[in-house]
Formats: sequence, structure tokens, C-alpha cells
Amino acid sequence: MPEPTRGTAFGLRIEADFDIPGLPSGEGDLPLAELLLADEAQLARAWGAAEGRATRIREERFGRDEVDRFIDADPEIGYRLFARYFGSCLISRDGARLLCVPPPVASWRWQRLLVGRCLPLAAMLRGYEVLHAGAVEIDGGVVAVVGPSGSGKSSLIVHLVLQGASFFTDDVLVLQEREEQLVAHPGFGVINVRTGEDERLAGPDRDALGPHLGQTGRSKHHYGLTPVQGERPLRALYLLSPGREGSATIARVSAPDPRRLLASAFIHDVRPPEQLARLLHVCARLAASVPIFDVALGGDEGAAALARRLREHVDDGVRA
Amino acid sequence: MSKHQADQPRENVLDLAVVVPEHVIFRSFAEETVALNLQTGTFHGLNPTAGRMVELAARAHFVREAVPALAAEYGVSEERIASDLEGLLRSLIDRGLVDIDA
Repeated sequence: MPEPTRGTAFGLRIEADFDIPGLPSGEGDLPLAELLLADEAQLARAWGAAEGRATRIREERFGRDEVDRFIDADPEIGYRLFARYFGSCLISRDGARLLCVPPPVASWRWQRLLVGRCLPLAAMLRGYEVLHAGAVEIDGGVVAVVGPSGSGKSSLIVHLVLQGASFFTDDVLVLQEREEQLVAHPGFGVINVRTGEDERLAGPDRDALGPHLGQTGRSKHHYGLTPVQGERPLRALYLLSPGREGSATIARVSAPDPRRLLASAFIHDVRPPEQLARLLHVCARLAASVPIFDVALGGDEGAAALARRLREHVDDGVRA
Repeated sequence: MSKHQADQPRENVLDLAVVVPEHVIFRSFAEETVALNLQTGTFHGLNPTAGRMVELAARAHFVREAVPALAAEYGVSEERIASDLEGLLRSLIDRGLVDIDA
């Protein structure tokens, strides 16, 4: 029997019976998530009693009659996720076991569902809070960037890394409260770069991002980029918002809007009550203990220039 | 609607005790208090004054005991505070965010 694949990401100790490109190596005293490859029949058997009983908590259709993505929840068995072209995954209700049913495509491609949805959901079920955010490590602390999809989080993270920051996570930030402080756990070793930003990168910059894993459609390139290992304190949070022409403005938010923080949480609709309570608690802790800044994006400023200013802002004004 | 609401629909809430039910969590932010109703999964926003009113009212044996402190804190008459407090608590009771403590 082959050795299992082992690593850590999103605050989980991951053991899998298949290869996972980009899974950071490392071990630690972290909750286990066991990943097993399965076929549709095995998944159907495991889902068994939930069939007909589970609740569909999310369904997406992209302009067709057929369902393109869904999440079903069952209080006893857990969650079943499906995404067309990416396969299915069954996550046990405690997040400790994931059955993955991939389509016949390259592993990095179907594992985008695993990395982007399933493991973050497992992390949430294992007791962590999860935000939609990219992050880098600067001087021992985590600087996170939150913003709506397409606002430029990943591009900013790419340029912060190219300018010397250490990669921490792309798109999924796992938080944990420890002794009244919020600590962040590093994410997965893949960064997604929009094609427009990728085309603007010079060759050496692209090389510095690590191996090119592939491209999804025409929209994104995926690079293998190893994150730092181990948890770090959350040092600052930057909230991206649409701005006007000119350069972006960066301003301290003295009284963060709770709605804005709550809205940055990952996957709202799968949360049982105790997790909503934890989310609210973590958002209140964030607002009270972490410096938060609003970045009103300027239409004339590219991600590289904004990353330079943001780095200066961190160095000048935010202490670890 | 809770049992208490059904039993005592329109008694003056100032003469009663109120409690935050177990299925409701209040958390304070700098300029807002957020209440989470775990039964419905709904978040509710209260301005800081309303948040403070709930905090003091829930601590008092009878809601009316919170009125002088609130009047002093906000520099308005006790009559005005009593009226606002009653209106606020009625609306929170209707939303299941506060219960009358029988």
C-alpha cells in the first residue's frame, strides 16, 4: 500500500490516499482531515441515509437548466458538494473525513474544488473561522486582504510576494482565537492569478511565483507557491472597496461595520447556529483587536503600485 | 412568538424583568451592537444607544430601574428614556431577541 500524502493547510493535518500538488509539507498538533479517493458508487453508499432527507442549502445554475453546483447538508452524515467539471466531495459532519470523487482531469484542476471549498468547509467544521481573504506574512505577522470576488485580492497578494513579503494564503484565511488573540493558519500552496495580471507580469516575476500548474479557461493561471509554515498572529486587515479615478486611498477604520466583517466570512449558508455564534464572536474580536484599514481602490493604479504603497503602510503604521 | 409574549402581550414592559434568551447572542462593536438569533440564523443591528439600553435593562430586576442611569448617561429626561426603552424592548420582544422573565 503506498504511503499516504501528508501535509498541513488551513489549520488541518491532512492525510490523503492520493497526490495533492501544492499541499504544504509539515506536521503539527492540528486536527486531522483524512482525504480518500472514491467513486460515485462509494460516495452514494456513504451518503446513503441522507438521500431524500438532506437539505439543499445552495444551488447554482450558470444559464442552463442543469444544476452546475450544489451543497446538500444532512445533520447526521455531513455535507455533499458537487461542481460540474470538478467532481463531488462528501465531508463528514465533523470535517474529519472527506470522500473525493474527481472527474477524469488533471489533479490540480479538480482539486480546485477541494482547496477552494471542501477543505475550508472542513476547517470550519473542525472549529476554525474562515474568511474570504488573501494574506502575506510581514515581520512575523499576517497582513490580510479582504474584498469581493474580482476586486484584486490575489493580484495584490502576488505583488506583495514579488516585493518581498512571504506568501501566506490565497482567497481562504483560517483564523483561530487563542488567549484573546486571533491567529491565522497558512493556506494552500497555490496562488490563482487572473489572466490580465498574468500578462502584465515580467518573465522573472512569473518564474518567482513557482511552477505554472495550469490555466482554468481563459480567466486564471495557477502557480505552485509555498506558504510559510505555522500559525502567525493576525497583524492587520485591509478591506478593498471600489473607489474613484486616481490612486487608491488607505484609511484606518476606527469603527468597523460588523456587516462588512460578517460578509467577509466564507460560505455563509452552511453554518449551523453554533458556527454563526463563533463567526460573530470572531468578527467582534477582529474589530476590537486588529487594526483594520479601508482601501478605496483607484482606477489608475495597478496592483504592483498599490502593493508597494500597502507595504510602506504596513511598515510605517502597523506594528506586529 | 415566545410563551411569555403570548401570556403577557401588552403589559407595560417597564414593570417587568427582561432577559436575553439563550438562543440570542449580543456582541458589541464600536458603533453598533449586533444581535444574532440562533433559531433563525438572523443578524440584527442595534445602534450603540439601543445596545446600551438592552444591556442595562437585562441587568435590572425590573426594567424601570434602568431608566435613571440611562437618563443620566444620555442627558435626557427619564420620561423620554422610559418611552424609548419601552418601544425598543417591545420591538425586540416581537423579534424574539428579548424575553419577558416571568
